[in-house]
Amino acid sequence: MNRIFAAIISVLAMSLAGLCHNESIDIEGWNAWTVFTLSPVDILTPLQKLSFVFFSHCDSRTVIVFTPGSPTTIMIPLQKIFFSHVDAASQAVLEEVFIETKAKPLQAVYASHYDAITYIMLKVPIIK
Amino acid sequence: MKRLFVVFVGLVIALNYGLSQTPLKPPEGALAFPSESAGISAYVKTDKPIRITEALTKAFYSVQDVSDSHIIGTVEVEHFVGKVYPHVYVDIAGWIVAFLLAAEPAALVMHWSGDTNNPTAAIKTTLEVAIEKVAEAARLPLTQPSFYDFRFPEANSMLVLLRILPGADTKTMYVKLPENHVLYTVSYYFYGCNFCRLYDYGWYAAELWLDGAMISRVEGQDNLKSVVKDIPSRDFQVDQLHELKISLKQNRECGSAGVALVLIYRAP
Repeated sequence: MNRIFAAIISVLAMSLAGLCHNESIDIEGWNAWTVFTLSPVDILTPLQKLSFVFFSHCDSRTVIVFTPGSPTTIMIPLQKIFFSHVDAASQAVLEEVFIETKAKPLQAVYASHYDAITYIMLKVPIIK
Repeated sequence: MKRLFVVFVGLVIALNYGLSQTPLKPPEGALAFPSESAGISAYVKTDKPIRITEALTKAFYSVQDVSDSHIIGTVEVEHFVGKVYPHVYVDIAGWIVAFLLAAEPAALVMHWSGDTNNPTAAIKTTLEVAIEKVAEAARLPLTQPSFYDFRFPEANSMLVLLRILPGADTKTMYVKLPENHVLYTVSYYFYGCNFCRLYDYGWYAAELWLDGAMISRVEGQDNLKSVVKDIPSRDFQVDQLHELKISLKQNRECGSAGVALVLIYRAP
């Protein structure tokens, strides 16, 4: 009976060892190795530096950003967002928008000048 | 009449919008970081603002863009295998980001230490060294940098493996990523050298093999040759044990060889 119990324990231990083994990287024969952790960069959201932007929600999928008199200063590469001019009053809302849009890539960007105002339209998949 | 007025107003708005469309430009100043062209990166955020001064520009090998609020260029980082020129971005908010371009193999992060006759089995990155140079010029205390790969936002780890041959030898190494990992890119930095500088004593030939196929060979005399390359994804996959072999032949013991393998992946 003890022998059977020992055999079962042994098989379980081997299985567990096998599982653990599979979850880690196997390396052999190298002089040295180092794992560097990759962490998202906050440089994409320097909201604290922003001033002079007016914007409003157009609908549930679109945000319009108005930058009066300033050159177009916005860039949206994939999931990253840059705003260079946001006033303090708008900042909280913009942060909210950013938080909402951060999880998904922005889909399209349009910009136009009208009456000395730059209108920037960000078509974003806002998460409800 | 009313309908005509609505159409007219609509036309005016459409013309104003449609004809005045302008392309978006990258932001200037502190927001000018070119994330779309960046690859593997190391970054620090200092507590204090950084002043963009002439002294700071001297840390750069070349300056590509500079304003009152930011500077971007390349910094020369030299190790015994060669020189690397990572891009570095600095802004007044305190960001220092050293990065390789998206098209450059991540293996260029390997900072070879020691010398051609006595390579050291130590791993440090050229990106860290670039940040150190800039921080020194800006007279900033240095903190431990973080890393990120702008090409692969989902990646959470970079593994650097190093094998050196201080003399004529052949060594075999193995690496296997488990099935539950996502592998984004694998690249290597391989070199061989010999500097006897006497008759033909300085001849050498170094080879690198992956899973039984030779992927790089360098041969020369009284010099150093290196290869930095991405490994095609079909040749290196998760849940497969990969065998790498490095060999060095030389006429006299005045040289060395080495390989650094860099993997960018997502671990669960």
